[in-house]
Amino acid sequence: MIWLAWRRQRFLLFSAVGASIVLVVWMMLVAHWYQDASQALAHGGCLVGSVRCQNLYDAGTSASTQATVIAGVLFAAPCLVGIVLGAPLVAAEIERRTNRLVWTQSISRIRWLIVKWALVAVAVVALVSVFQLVAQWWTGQVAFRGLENSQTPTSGTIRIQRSIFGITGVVPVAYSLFALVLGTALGAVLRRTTWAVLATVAGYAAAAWLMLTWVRQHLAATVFFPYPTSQNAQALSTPGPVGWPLGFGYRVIAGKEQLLGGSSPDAIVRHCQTSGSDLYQCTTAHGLQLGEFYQPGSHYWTLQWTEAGIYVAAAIALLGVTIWAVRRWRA
Amino acid sequence: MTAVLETKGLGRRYGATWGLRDCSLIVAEGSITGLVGPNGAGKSTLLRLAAGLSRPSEGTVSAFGQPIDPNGTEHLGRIGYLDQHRPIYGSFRVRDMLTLGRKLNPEWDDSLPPQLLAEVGIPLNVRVHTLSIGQQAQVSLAVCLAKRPDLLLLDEPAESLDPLARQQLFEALLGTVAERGTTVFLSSHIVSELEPVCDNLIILAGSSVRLSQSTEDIVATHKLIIVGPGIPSIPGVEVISTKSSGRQTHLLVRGVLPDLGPDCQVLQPDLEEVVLGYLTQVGQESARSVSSLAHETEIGARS
Repeated sequence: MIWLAWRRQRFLLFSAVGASIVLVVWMMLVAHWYQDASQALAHGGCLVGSVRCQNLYDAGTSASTQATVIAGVLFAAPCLVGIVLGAPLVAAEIERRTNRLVWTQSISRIRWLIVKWALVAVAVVALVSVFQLVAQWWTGQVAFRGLENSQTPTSGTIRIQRSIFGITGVVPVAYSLFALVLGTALGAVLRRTTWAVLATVAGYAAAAWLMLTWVRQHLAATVFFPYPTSQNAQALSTPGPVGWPLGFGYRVIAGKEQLLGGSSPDAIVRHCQTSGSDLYQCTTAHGLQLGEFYQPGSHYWTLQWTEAGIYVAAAIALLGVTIWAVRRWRA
Repeated sequence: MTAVLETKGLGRRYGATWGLRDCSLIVAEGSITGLVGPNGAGKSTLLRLAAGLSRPSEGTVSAFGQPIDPNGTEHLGRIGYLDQHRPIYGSFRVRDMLTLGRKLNPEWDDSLPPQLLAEVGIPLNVRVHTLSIGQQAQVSLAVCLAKRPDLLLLDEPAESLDPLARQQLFEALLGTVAERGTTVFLSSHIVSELEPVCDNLIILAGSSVRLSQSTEDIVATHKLIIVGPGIPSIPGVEVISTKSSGRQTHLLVRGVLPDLGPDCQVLQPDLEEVVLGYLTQVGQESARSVSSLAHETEIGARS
């Protein structure tokens, strides 16, 4: 059965390796161009306002734009795995009725499914793992939109940001595995490759959106960054929160609960915003500390492993769905 | 007579319509049994149920005395199945199709397929999609035969083949199964195609069994009677179908005829006429065959 799985999938798997190599070469070129331009600019290799300076600047911008495109491709790559390798895995066989050929040989249809799927899964995990290492190096070499240049990408404070988090570490592997099973399961249930492809895109995007906007920020305890309450120089020079900012918030100052006077903190903030008085003074007077919540860089691996765990658990559940669908399917 | 395949009250529903209903039949060990019926009679449904690809909505189907479980493995090695669409991996070379069979079947006969394919001039190193339909059918059949099944289920094996390819296919089939005593259950909607091949014939129409008998007995027990207008009552025989054409009425009857006198002309029908008679009977009972025909088209488009 391994022979058949390999014989059936080898073209796609070779293509996947080929596409990965092309992408890696492109990433290396972009990193090289970006480093060249930025170093020349940084070391005063040109006269400000000169044509050479403009050229260097353009080269850097072009590399940065390409890097943004590459980041987008990396972000979408797991979904491509689901579309190209997952969706047709069962659906194409049912569509071409070749399942009737294979299911009437001397092995059970479940063994057929598991071996076929496992071969692709192992290949995908291996490929994405290697690719993730390349991406990790690469994100330290270039700056693309959504990043602040002042921060070193590999420092852990920036790779927790949304634009990098999903393309490095263990989550790309988990995403790919999830997308593969999602495609396979939808193909087995819908029995049409095209529908399975569309449903995979929708399902994957929905899962990614849900994770990004609602779930990920709660996978580790958020940290509160209090805004300075006095306007002195020392307070203003304190560095801001580093990591993944989650937005404006407030906390009740310990021991000052009685200042709330029985109102809810929300009501106090609204009152202070509309009262016309100084927001900081007003909220402090009512026992509230303003600030913002964020996930610090030190939470990177906690978030990575937890999120990967959620995706792998979902993948296992979907594999169960696939097995159920194949078992009950009447050819 | 031992039954290799037996169905009891077997039915399969597709949504609100029945693809097969109340089908009870026996395929005897070592026989070559033909399954004949119009399009949409449920022949493919029956064969898929027997192959364990489908699951009964009601009734039972068992092979070698054991009920068939679509997720079981017991029956897989013993049953060979050729689908009516003859699915095959087009991008594979012929050799790869044989490797597929060898890797997936422990009882695989490695010497048979090359021999069968050489006889009809199919090289092993060409891609399957470059072969003609007839050659592809030969490859599919070779895979089925080399599996060394005890029961071979063939769904319209010769459909859309030209007469020569059809003849070659049946030659390959009969040559191998005769040697091994394999039981063959094959379907067709063309009686003349089955007649020279089969010992037994099962007529399936209106999604249930109409007749199951050896081909010899079928011919021997049926008579065609031509009388004047009006349908006479003849004691001791069962009237299968009637056809009036103005001054004459044609009756297909089953049983031992009493002496009918000089007004009646008694003819010996051939197999095809008998089968047609049974199919007409269904048409007379109701317009079911028409609705089941439409239904099959619908199923075909869906599956």
